[in-house]
Amino acid sequence: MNTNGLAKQYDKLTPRERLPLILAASARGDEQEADRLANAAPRVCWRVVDYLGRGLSHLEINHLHFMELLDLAAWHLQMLLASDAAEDKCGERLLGIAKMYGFVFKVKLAGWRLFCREQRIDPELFWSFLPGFTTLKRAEELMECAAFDREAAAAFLADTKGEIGEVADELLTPESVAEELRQVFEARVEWWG
Amino acid sequence: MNTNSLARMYDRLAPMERVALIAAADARGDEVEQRRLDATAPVIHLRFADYLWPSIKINTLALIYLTEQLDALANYWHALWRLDDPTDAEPEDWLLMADMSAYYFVCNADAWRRFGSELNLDPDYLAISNYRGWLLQFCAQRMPKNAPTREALIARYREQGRAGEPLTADAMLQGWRHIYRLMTEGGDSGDGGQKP
Repeated sequence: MNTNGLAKQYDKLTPRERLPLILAASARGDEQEADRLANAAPRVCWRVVDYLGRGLSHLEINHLHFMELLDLAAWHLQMLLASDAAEDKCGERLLGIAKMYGFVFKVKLAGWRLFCREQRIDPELFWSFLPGFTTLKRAEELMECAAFDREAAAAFLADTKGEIGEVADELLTPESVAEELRQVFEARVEWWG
Repeated sequence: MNTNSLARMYDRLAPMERVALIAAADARGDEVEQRRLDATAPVIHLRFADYLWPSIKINTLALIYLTEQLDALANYWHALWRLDDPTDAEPEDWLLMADMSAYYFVCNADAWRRFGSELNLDPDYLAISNYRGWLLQFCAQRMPKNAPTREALIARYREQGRAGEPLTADAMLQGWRHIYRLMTEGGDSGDGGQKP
């Protein structure tokens, strides 16, 4: 099949024809083809409010962080269940893993709140419209009694990884989470121009 | 506080200041203020590929789908964990909750796959490219074995004296089509004429 001949037609594709082809190329790892399709797309000019890029970037980061927390909550609950079913050392270990997920959940949530405070945005405004918000709030309550604090998390990791001081230095903090969110957010805003 | 004199400054807000004020107005249900903030925003021109807006819409749908599936998983394990509590007076409620969550997870995955195929989009890739974990893929393979059939779930509803019936995968597919239609109404013709 002569793909060059096909490529010459790429500028004639409609958006709904182009998008599946770009996704299919990305899915099979053919980035060259994905780029070729993307670059051949006609450009359109949008007349938009000046906050569109920041607004959309904020929505995107809201959604991604919310999903990450739900993912952690699901892992936490799965490990709690598994720890109940296991016995002795294995059960203790699984309970430790559950509490570690709880620790990460709490730090990521605190980091999110810190990031939103800096941006002067209500951290739960968008989340409250998402499926899973009730689950997230319930998970937060549960984590109050089923999550490690910073010292316990460091001690748990030190058991498997090495010295407690080094491990504690590597642990996430709300500040490091907020910083990462800031970087992702700014990168998205920059993309919008 | 004189809001009129403040309003006169609205066209001077930085984009992020405006986003914060619109979000705050939304939080207190002040639609008039939201509209005023939106209407006074400076307008800019952006030049992008014509498929960008459909791409944003479909990725937003993928994020909603992923959130629903993670919610179902968290509910499933929460219910099973509570079921283990020997002091719980009504364990059958937790068992039903676990079954409902497993059933929902499986039907929604089926509906999403069919929805993606209708649009000629690879539904699995759409999900994978928007999700950094691996829990969902892991459970997508195993959950069908744990989920009850619709008939079995209806029978359980009745046993516990509950009314109503669980949604079908067909109804969930209709739901995805409906949201997509709502998102693409008013400008997205799919032929290059999109407007945000």
